[in-house]
Amino acid sequence: MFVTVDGGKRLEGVLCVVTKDGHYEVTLRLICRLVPLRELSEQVKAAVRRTADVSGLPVESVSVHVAELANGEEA
Amino acid sequence: MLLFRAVVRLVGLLWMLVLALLGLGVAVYCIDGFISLGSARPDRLLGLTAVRHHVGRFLNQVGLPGPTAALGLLCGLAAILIGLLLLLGTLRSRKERLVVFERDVNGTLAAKPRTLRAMARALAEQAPGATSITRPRLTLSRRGNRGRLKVTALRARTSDPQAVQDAINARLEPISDPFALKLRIRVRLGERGERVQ
Repeated sequence: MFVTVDGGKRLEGVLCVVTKDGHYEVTLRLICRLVPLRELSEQVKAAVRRTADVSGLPVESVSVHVAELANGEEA
Repeated sequence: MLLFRAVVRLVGLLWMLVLALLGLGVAVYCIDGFISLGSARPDRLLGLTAVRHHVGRFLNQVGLPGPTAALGLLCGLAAILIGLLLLLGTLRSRKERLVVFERDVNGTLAAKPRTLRAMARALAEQAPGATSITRPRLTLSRRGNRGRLKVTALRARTSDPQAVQDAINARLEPISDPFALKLRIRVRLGERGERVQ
C-alpha cells in the first residue's frame, strides 16, 4: 500500500519507512505525463531532500515509481 | 488476474473455515471417547452414515465402466486443473513487478510495466509514417532491469517500411536505452480505413 499517515492525513502515493538507524526511506508513486523520466526523477528527489532538510528529517533514499501516464495516456 | 486473485483469497478463507470446523469435529469426536455424547456426536448430527451410503454407491459406479465413470473422470480432471490454478494463485509472488531504470544507494527509479508499455505506444505513435501501433508487448528479466519490447506498427501504403521502423526506433530510444530494453519492431501495411498520421 502506497499510503502514509501523517498527522491524521492520508498521503496517497507516498511510502515512508524508518530504517534501523532512524533514517527515512521515501518512495513516491507518480502519475506523470510523457516526459524524460530521469530528469523528472532528479527534480522530484531534489525537492523531497530539500523539504526534508528544512524539516530536519534525515532521508536515506528517495525512490520514484512511475505508476501511470496522465491525460488519457494511461495504459 | 485481479478476479483470479480475489477467488484465490476467498477459497483460502473458506478452506480455513472448513479446516477449523473439521478440527472442531475431530476434537468433539475425541471427547466422545471419554464422555459418551450419544446422538450429539458430530457424525450422527451431520448424518454421515447416510452420506457414506450414498458416496459409497457413487464410488462403486465410478469404478465400473459406463457414463458415471466418464463423468467421474471429467470431474477429477477438472478438480486437478482447479487445484493447480489455486496453487498457482497462492504460491505466485504478490510483489509488484517493476521495470528498473536505475537503482543505487540514493534510491530507485522504476516504472510499472503497463505504464512503460503505454509510454512506448504513445512515443511510437509519434513516428512519422506509422498509422497506428498495436499494444506493445513487454517481457522482463527476473530482476526487472532488462527486457524485450515488441512493437507492431501499421504504415501507410506510401511510407517506406524501413523508414517507419527507424523512426519508431528513434522515438523509443528515451525508454529503450535507460531501461535496457531490446526493441523488436515489426512494420506492416495498414488496412483500408485505418488512421493515417
